[in-house]
Amino acid sequence: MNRFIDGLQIEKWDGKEVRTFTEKLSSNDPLLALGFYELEEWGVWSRTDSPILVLPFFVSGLIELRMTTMGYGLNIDREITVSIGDASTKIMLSPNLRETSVILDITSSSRKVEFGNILALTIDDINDPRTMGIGISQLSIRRLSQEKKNWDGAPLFVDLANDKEDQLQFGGFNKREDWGIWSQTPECYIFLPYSVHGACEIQIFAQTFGRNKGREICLTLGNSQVRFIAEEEPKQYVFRFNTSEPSNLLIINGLAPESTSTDPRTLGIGIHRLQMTLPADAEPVAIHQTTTPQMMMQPKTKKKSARDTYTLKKRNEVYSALFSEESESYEWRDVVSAFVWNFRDDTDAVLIIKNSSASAASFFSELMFLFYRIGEIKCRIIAIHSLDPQFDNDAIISATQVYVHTDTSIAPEKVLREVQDQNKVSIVSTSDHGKYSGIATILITPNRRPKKIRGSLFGIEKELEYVLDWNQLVEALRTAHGLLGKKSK
Amino acid sequence: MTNYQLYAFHNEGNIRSELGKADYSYWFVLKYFQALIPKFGEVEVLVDPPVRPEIIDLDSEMLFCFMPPHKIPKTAINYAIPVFAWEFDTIPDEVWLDDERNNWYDVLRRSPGAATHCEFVAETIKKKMGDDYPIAVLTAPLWGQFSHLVNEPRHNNWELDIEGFTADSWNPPAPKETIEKTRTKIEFSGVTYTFVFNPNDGRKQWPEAISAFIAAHRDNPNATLILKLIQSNPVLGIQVVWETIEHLLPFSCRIVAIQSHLETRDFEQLMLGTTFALNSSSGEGQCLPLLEFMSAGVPSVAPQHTAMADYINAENSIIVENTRSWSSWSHDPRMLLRCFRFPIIWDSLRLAFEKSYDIAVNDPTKYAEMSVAATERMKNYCSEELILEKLQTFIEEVRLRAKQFPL
Repeated sequence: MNRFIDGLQIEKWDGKEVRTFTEKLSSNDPLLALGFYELEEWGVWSRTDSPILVLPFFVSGLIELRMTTMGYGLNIDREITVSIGDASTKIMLSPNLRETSVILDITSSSRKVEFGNILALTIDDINDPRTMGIGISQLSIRRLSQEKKNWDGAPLFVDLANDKEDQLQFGGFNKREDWGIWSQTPECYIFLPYSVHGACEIQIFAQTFGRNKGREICLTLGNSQVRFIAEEEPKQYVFRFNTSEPSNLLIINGLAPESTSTDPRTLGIGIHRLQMTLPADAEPVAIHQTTTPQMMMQPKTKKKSARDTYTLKKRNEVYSALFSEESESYEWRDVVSAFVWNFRDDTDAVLIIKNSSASAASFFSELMFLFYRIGEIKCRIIAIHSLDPQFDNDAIISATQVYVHTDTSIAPEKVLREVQDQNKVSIVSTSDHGKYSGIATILITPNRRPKKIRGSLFGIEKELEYVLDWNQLVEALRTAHGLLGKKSK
Repeated sequence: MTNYQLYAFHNEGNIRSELGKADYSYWFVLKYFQALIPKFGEVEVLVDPPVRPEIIDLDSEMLFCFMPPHKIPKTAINYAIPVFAWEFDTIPDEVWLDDERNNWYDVLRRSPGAATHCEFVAETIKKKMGDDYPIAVLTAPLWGQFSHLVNEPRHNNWELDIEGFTADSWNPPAPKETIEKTRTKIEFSGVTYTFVFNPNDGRKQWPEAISAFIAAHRDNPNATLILKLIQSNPVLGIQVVWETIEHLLPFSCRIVAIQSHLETRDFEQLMLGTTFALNSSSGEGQCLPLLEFMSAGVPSVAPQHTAMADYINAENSIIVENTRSWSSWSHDPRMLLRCFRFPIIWDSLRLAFEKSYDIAVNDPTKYAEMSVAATERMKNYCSEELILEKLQTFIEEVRLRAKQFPL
């Protein structure tokens, strides 16, 4: 048989384009299928226990194989091996056609896609004498390039909700969706656009599905590895890597893919965004070069913060809130959503929100996801990030008509005095109403709850924390809006 | 005679292994209706997904699917009547994942009618579908099954036979990996709260319940919280709950987590020994455990929102205050903000533990009144007679509408 295959014509494939082959009756480009029956309208059934699909070209290196397959009888939920050359992996067959993605690292080039561990069987109850195992309707193949430029430390931000974004390649994932991408296999891969050597911080905004919630998941970059407990709700995770082996391959494993009764895809981790930055305290990035000895290079000088000017109109009703949140309570999100709940369709309403938390990327990344969850709005939100907690505060307060104070980590007295002196409305969330009754216009009471243990799904501390009551804030914003109306009259 | 077909994903053969998984409680609701339907006609429980008949005649055949609208088999759309639990103030009216069934408005519009388990959701559906849409509030008719317990004697000291996994703060397992399946007798005394829940259900706010109980009764060995877990993976369930409890040690009050199937008499013993049934959830579509315990005359500590607004009141319960927050429909992977959830306020729960304990210990008359009020409310809410009447009216409405607007 090998001699027969060797005698077949060979096409050239440079691996840059994805090649897709359809194994259906109507197909113009079916692969040579050895050990299979005739093509049918939906695809083709295997006949033997070791069927082979022959590609029109040889492949080697790291490739992704996407196959739409199904199993017959006892082959359903059975681990079937898929091999090309010396590389092999396993897939599980389902009773209906389902797309599966596998990654193969092939060192000895080959053009045969070989299937193994198949039970070629007939089923007594079914009036079909054929011995069938695996059914295939489509196969596509692409090369995953590992030849990447070295990363010089410049920040990378990839928002997968942006369909024009193509900096990352994925292996073992389902198709991209309008919000991001779901992993498909227990081990999956993200190919970064640069090869990393040394320290880097990778943040992903991600969620998990089904039994992956609370599961320990492992991320590997080069020879650096981190573990984390993934949660069901989308959340920003920050990982610090330090790899002495340059690599652009981020491996995620430990997933337990699961499907639902309405969605036949297997889902593990859903990734919305990924960002890569040089940690503030990190050593300079080591640039790995193959032609010369390793050399050290300084990272790109960090760009100075942009200085933008925002113009507000006289008719605008301006609300503002200052934060320096490091906690997991994310109260600024509640302030944004409560504002939108009240003023979604009000083109004159403006919220200025300033955060001086450690990571601007996290703040804006979370904010973008919140905007996605909220949907279309006509009111305006201006988000500012500055590591300097005093940056532009005077200008913000001066432009403000309603100041919202909810972040207990910021001492409110000074700001509130200014707000009061300028005869503006203030909303303060505090457990100590007595302290602010003279200087705050509207007081709301935060709720107590046990502090959550970081990184734990259900764990709580003995200590309690105060958290903003979203419902009270909605009411307070409405009251403030009413007060502004009265003032203007 | 009409043939009533009932269909749920789970069935008699697999339900034991499916406890705690998605939609497992629909099977129990189906079982309650299976017992009622013979009053109207023939009943048939389907195992395979139903298929819409070529000619639909609701006088001769009617299909009830015990599942949310987006899970109705495609072959049964335009015919099936969904019977489902829901706890949000809006229903999904958008398509996602290319599955049109995710638009509940569309599925319901094409159904002869729908049934849910509480007024809150019935009102939500009417707001969307119109007042003339046939929507029934069909609570699981279980009052009669548990009301006899009201007359049984209750003792301060009692014990429970358990074959399963247990973790007791008075006899802590260490480490958590050593929790093994055992057959054991656990003795209880004093004021006992029981919370039945699935630890994986994000609505239940069970860590808050544990924390508030400890805050209220830290130095009180006469107060016990029983956590009766329903989890498909029993080891994982008890370990995760115990890990949370262990982190909050030491305290003198007692917390016992139980992961075990209780036979009828043992479950009744649990009800007889319980002073208050507990719920700290941010939303309930019905809450079978509360219905069961309250039918047996056990007052509750619970919030008064979503389905619980129908039967929790100041006469039969200590009400836990709640707030509301903007949230997503529970099965929407896009997580768009489209509805409200109603989280409980921790301090209110802590106070409810204190107040309820005070009543149980110092005001037996008030406690007895609450107990009577609990079972009386359930009689007027989930007795078989009442649900039969509602079901009869609903079936007539459905048939009438199908004649006016053929499917």
